[in-house]
Amino acid sequence: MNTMPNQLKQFREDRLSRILDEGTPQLLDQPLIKRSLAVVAVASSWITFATLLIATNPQVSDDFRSLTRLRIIASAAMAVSFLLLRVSMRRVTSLPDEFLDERELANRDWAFRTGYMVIRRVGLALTLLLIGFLVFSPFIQVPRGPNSDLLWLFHFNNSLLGYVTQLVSTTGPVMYFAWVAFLLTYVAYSFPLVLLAWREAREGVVIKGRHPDQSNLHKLATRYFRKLWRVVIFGALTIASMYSFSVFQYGYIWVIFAWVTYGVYVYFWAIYKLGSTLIALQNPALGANIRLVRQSLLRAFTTSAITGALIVFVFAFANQLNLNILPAFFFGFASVILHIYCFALVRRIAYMTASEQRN
Amino acid sequence: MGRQPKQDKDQLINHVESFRTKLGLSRQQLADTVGVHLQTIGYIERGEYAPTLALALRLAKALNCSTEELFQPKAEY
Repeated sequence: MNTMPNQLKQFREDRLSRILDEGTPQLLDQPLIKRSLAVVAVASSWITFATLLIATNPQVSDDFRSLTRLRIIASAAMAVSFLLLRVSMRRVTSLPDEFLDERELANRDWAFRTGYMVIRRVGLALTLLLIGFLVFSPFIQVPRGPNSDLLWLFHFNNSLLGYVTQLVSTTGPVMYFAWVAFLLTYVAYSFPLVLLAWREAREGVVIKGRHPDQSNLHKLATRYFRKLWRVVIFGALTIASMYSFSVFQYGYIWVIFAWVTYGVYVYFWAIYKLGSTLIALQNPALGANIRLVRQSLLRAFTTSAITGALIVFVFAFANQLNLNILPAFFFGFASVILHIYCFALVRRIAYMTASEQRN
Repeated sequence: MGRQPKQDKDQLINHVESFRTKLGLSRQQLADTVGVHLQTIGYIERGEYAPTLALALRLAKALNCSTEELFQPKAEY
């Protein structure tokens, strides 16, 4: 029966099968790359945190405080390094115990335990800081005298309500707490991976999947089109309901945020998968026809990378160079069209490989 | 006396590499025989990972020797 638990079980089995089939990409299994990713993940989160602290400091001049661009770059580095680390270490972090040996299990448990210890302390420190701020700031403000206890309670209540109200607003100092919460979540997710990547980087061994040939290419293209279809349907529903019910407020922004986040994920997933496919297809034993299609794939991928870089350029320098941001949407659309073309080529290569193997 | 923290004397000297090369086995072959990942053999040979008793016994069996021959404590108790 196609019940929810069965679907979840199927989803987990598919994921497991995918990890076992694909193995770890050669590039991400290099010790230097693993350690570099670990360093970038930690450094970029510290840079993001530092830019937040500088931005909230009233002693610092406005020129020095405008570190938005650095924060955007550091945040992007955080996201990219985390995703790559996740792929690099997913064998150890995601496979069930029976697929790992005792050293890998010990390393995995050590990394998650250490990550938990760090998060526990940082989380406690932040919570105490916030509680201290809430409790003591009204206490200091209230003058001593008759009824000062009641006044203090009144101020505390006001202060608490004020903070809760600010938590849901997009401006105000509490927005920085949202950033800190985001960083904390990031550390919770990425720190065990950083520790594992560092420890597992003593020697470079390519962990091959069960099928190192091109038989998975067809499956890969199907996965992309399925993901893209989800983005389109989700987007259509989001926009349609936005205009039908005019519910732009009341938390609806989170639906749009989820849609955009998923779209961005699919975009980067496509870049990563196309890059690894191009590397995997660097095989001189492939037939001349497949090599020709690979060249077309490389050209389309390079063009999509240029359009992608142009999006970043427009957003990064829009203010400085007085640029209109509309072309960025055009470049984004062009990139997606190019990705569709690239995956159509990937599918074609899969058919050609299958036909070559039959002959 | 109660439980003591891990010390240098708890560290092991191992002869896995010499036994393996004597038998002409590659790391991959040994890893496949004892059912661990290739990297794990490297970690054990460099002394960066002390195997469990079960794995030590499997290694000894695969290398045709006893566990005492394969692993010895760095310092005498």
